[in-house]
Amino acid sequence: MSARLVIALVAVAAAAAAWVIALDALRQTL
Amino acid sequence: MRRTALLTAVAAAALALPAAAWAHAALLRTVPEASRTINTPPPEVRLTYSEPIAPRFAIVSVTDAAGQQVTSGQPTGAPGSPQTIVTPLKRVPEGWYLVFWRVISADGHPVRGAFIFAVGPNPGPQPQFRVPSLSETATTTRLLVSRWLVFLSVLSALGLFVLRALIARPVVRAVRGTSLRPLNVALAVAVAVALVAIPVYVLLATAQFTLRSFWDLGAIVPVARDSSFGRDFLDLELVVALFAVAAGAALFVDRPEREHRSVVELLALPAALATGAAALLLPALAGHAGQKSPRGLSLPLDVFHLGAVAVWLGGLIGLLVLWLSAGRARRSAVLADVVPRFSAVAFCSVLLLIGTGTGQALLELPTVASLWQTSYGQALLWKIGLLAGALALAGVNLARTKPRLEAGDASAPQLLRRLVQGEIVLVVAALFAAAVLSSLAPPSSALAKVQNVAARVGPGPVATTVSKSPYKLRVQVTPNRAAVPNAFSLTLTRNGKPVPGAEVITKFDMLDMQMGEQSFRLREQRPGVFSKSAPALVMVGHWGLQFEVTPPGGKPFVVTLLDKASG
Repeated sequence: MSARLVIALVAVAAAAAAWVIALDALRQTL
Repeated sequence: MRRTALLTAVAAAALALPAAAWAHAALLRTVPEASRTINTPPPEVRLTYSEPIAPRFAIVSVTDAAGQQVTSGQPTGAPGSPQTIVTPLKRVPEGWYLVFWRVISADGHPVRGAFIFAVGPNPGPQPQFRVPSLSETATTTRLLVSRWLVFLSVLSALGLFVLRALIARPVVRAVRGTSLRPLNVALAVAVAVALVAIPVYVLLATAQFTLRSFWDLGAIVPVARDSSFGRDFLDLELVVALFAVAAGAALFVDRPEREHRSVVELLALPAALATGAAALLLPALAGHAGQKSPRGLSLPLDVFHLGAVAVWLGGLIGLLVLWLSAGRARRSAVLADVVPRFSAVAFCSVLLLIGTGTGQALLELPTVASLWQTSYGQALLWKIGLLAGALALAGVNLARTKPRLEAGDASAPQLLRRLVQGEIVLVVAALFAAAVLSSLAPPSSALAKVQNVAARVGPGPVATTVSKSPYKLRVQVTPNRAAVPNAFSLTLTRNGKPVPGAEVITKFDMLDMQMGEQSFRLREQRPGVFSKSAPALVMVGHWGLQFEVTPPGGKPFVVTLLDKASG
């Protein structure tokens, strides 16, 4: 796997983590 | 015991209020019951609210007639009921007690109230209690400036990323030797400021709510996540940090010199944009939109509103960075390439901004008049005015500068820079108005009930005459002070002669905060003179007084006065 692909996957992982946090906050508000 | 009856009526009215219509925590139930006499000393005071309450931020004071505290500990949460807080009491003797409470609502606004109860069987005459005054708001200068800095830095960061990754990217191929690095640096600076500003803001707000100094970090930091407001903003900190990672990765793998993006780039770019979108959801959850029903409408409106500002503001800052960094030789060419694309995007985001802003105003404001009658409305007018100024400058850019840039006019970049600078100043100022706006409680929906005000009266004793053809009504309120019995009297005449036998009902609506409506029937004391003494004006501020009059054999009508009650 190339280094560039690994870096892109880091971005995808960050997005997933961000949405887990945001949806959890949404769940607590609703 | 009229006062007792009144306080009971207020408590009952509060119970009858639908919780969904309430943007802030409302007290629903108390043990001991408000304004009642109980025969055994209560071991504790239990307060139940319309939403979960963080006990650490709650202040509950129970004082006797001499002003001595009778609590024996701090408020704690009731097991299994997050909406209830329990405060233990010492063993108290017979007498009257005042309970004063203050809690923090989910959107970070402090809410307070007070009630009395008596321990019998012979509590004696009711003393005059002084309600402790805790002057605290969410609008201190420190809080406003830090809140504004949070909005400014987070939104600029998101907008700068959109400009860099989507709008400005092709300029590298269009104008040889152009570097996008200055935009990356500006983005990094904005993210760094956001990562510092968010925790500072949360700590300042937490210090305010726990009545501690900001520097008492040992006490503040452990409780910062205990309020839902603090939790949402600390979640925002995490998401902004993740955005920094995702955006950094997306820009690292980006090769703007190639026309088509590679698979790797197509993986990283949407991920970074999605992270940015998550960062927009959290301020919306922490603010009014998260509490305002219908949330299915108010939350998306707020998210799109924030997104539109981000694209506009970040893009403008990015244009200025490009102007400064491009160098005299390339400046015209760079701007001629980027500005038309940005103009198109900014135009769409401004339309979205106006549309979502109008939608939010329709949800938040109960009447058009609340725009200028309430401080919330006034902050909104400032915001609209500043944005209108920015829009005027944007219009000049679109109509004048863009064609001149495309035509290769040498003076166009200079004009563009001036206009863009002016636009940035106005948008940043509007953002400050937004920080004020989101720190104020939206106007009470009771305002919608008080329409066609016949007269504005108070502070001080009221004696005013209003006409409602063919009747004349003389209204008197003495002494028109809060929390004491007031005499309300209405004299009804027609052609100078008293009208006996009418039915007169008075309704009281607190206009400065949500507080159930109370109503009383006035008794006819003399022919055509109706009156009642009641401590109906429970707190200092603006009250809507409605007199519903049904003359014998005549049509019922309503006369409304806007009264200001002093302390």
